[in-house]
Amino acid sequence: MAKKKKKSAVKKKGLLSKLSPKVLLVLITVAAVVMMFMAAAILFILGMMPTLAAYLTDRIPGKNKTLTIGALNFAACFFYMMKIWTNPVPEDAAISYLSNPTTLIMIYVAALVGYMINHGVTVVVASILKQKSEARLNKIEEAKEQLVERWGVKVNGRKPLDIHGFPLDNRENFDS
Amino acid sequence: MANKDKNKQNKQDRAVKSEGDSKPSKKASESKKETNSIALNGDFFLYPKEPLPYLDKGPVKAYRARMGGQHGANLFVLICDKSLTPRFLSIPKYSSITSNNLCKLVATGKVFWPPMQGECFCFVYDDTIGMPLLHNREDHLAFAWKPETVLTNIILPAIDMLTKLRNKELAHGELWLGNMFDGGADAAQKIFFGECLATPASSQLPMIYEPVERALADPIGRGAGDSIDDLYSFGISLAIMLREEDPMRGFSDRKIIEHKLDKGSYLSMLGKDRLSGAVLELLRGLLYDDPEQRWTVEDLEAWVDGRRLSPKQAPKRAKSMRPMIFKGQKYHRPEVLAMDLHLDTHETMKIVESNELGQWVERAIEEKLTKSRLEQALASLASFERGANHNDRVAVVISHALYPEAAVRYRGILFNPAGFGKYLTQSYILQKDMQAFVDVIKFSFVIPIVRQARLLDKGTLMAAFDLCRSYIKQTALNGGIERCLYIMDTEAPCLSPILENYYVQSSKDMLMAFENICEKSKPDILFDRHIISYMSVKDRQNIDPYVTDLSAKNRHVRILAQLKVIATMQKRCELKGLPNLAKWLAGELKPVYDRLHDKNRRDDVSKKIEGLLKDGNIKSIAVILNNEALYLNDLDQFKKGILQYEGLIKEQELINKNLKKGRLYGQNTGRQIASVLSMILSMAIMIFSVYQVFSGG
Repeated sequence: MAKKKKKSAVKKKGLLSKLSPKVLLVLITVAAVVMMFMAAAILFILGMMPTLAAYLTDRIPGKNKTLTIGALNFAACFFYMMKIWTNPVPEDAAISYLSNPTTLIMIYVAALVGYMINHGVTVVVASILKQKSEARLNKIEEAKEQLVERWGVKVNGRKPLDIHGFPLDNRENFDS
Repeated sequence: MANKDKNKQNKQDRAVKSEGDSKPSKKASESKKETNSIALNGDFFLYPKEPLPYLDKGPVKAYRARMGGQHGANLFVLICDKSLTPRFLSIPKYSSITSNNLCKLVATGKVFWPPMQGECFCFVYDDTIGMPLLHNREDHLAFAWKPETVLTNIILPAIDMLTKLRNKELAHGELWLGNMFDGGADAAQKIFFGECLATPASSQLPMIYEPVERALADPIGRGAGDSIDDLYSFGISLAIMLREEDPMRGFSDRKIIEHKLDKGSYLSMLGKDRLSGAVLELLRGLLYDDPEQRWTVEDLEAWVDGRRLSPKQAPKRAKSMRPMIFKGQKYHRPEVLAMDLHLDTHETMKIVESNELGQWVERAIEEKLTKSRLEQALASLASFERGANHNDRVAVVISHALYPEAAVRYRGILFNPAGFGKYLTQSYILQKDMQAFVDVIKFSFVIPIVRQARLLDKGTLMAAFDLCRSYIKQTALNGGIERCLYIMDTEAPCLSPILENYYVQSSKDMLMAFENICEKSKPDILFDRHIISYMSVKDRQNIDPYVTDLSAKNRHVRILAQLKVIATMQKRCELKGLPNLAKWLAGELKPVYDRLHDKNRRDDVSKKIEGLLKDGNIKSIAVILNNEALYLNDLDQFKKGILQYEGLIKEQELINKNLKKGRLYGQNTGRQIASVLSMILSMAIMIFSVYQVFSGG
């Protein structure tokens, strides 16, 4: 038994030691705030669930999708949080909003709008970029042709050139 | 007498001609003649259809000429033959001589001569000289004129002319009866001496008029002699005028030489003729075989003044008692043997190596000087490199030891060192085998002979041979036998096949010829070995800086070098417009334009040059194309172009790589934009929330 206690103590000691002092401070602060504003915190936690889901499913580096959904999700939560905090009895207001399903629906709709923005804008932007790239490719071809016309084929740099810029194996100007 | 008959006949011919001139239809015929004439320098008219054969000098033909104006003086013109280089350098000296007895030079210049289908150099002389005293070389060479007549009509005028020639340091080289004229009077009352400029000195002089040593050389290889040689020729002419019989009549050239060697010139010429004391003295003095002892102009003047100089009897040449057998022939004189050694050089080597020759000279000749020379020659053979034509070279050295004054005899060419240049020129023009000339220059066995020769300007000649030796081995365009030709014959015109129909003597002539060629046709090239060598010798500043480029493998370098040479020539000759030459050059410039990478720049340069063609200003064309900054700037821009192309390729590859992503392409950017949009919207919502809460809504 004594051995098991020792092991769990070591484990606990290990977890705590992995967290940096800053994170530890934030966690302690959050825990304190949660303890102070329990009802509002519960609303916030429940409201931000779509963002958590987006975070967990977003595998793309940069997590832009999470950011898009999270921003609108947070804005909706913020609206209700403001109403709670500005209420003379915040706990009561929090319970009132929590018990009203419209609150969560509104918050989740905001998150949905965020998701739609992410999807729609991504598709539109990708399409525009593709068209632009194709147009650019055409322009590059034209520019290359103009360069060849002005400087000759040797401008493509495929053949080794001498110090004067003429192909080394060019016998055009030499007598045999 | 036969000679006199001939004179009469010729005079009749001339009389018939002059009668024709005085006919009533004279004016009409004159105007017709003008149309048939060729103008020279704008003042003289030459008539190619009116030859004057009695004034011909071998291949140099004479024609009637006239000065412009209604009463233009009668003249004759000598049209030079390209293979016989005229004596250009002697023209100023000749012109400055004012003698009533020397054919008067009126004009010189170049004309297009229809019978030769090309440009020729010509000399125009006053036609008051009459008929030649001797019309044919085969005529009977004994006039039996009275000594008094000869003294008055021949000797006295001759002294005046010879003194003036001597004062100008000009050797006439053509003093013989065929080049002495009667002035149109009977019985040679007023003698005229013919000209000596239209052919190389002594090249038209019959061998009998030459001292033995000079007669041994081929006529073209005799070289310019000096006044002593002129006096000998004059002496021979006098002897022919005075003698009654020709003791050498029917003799071959070889026999005449042997006869002169055997008897001496005086006895050979006069034989049994008995002359009076004073004339005998004169002829003995003039025909002395030793040039050191021969009479000079001063001696001649003294003789006329009555001083009697009593020349010594000519010493007899050494003759051996025991003959030397060479090629089955017996030889008693080393001079005669020396003349024949080159005929069988294998046999020569035999008698040299067996010391048969040495013993003969030592025991049979008994002449210390000859023995010493032979010993020196034999010693010098040790330093001879073996190889091609070794025996021929040995024969030259041994011949020279046996007869040092004689001409060099090497593989069929017989020349005095001073005549080598003219011989080289003639052989080149007549397309003879040049190997013997190449050997003479390459092996430099002539230099010791030049050192011992009786020449005024040995140093220059030796320097010329030395210079040629360094150039003969060169394969560069300004080297080889062509360059040697122009070094050795400073009077030779440019012999390039390109200038075949032109007579080019200077850079200016050459440019004018180029202009004319380009006007008529489109030549493939304008610079060959001859032109480059000629320019390099005559006016090296025009061409030497560009010789390497002219032979470059790269075409544009060659063309640019041609352009630079022509531009330099144009600048130095101060010739303004050469539109046809400029046009030809412009047509050749494509490889030069191609050295510009930038097509736009090429077009600009080409347009600029096209604009200059009309004025024929080649200097300006050269300035445009010989601009280093133009090419450097072009190269710099080209390098930027390469980098630009490279950048485009990279961009293209990147875009293609992105496009290959298919649907995924642009999504990242889309998401980022969506995030930004979402955040802006959320900020707006939050501000709205705060506003609504605090505004009591």
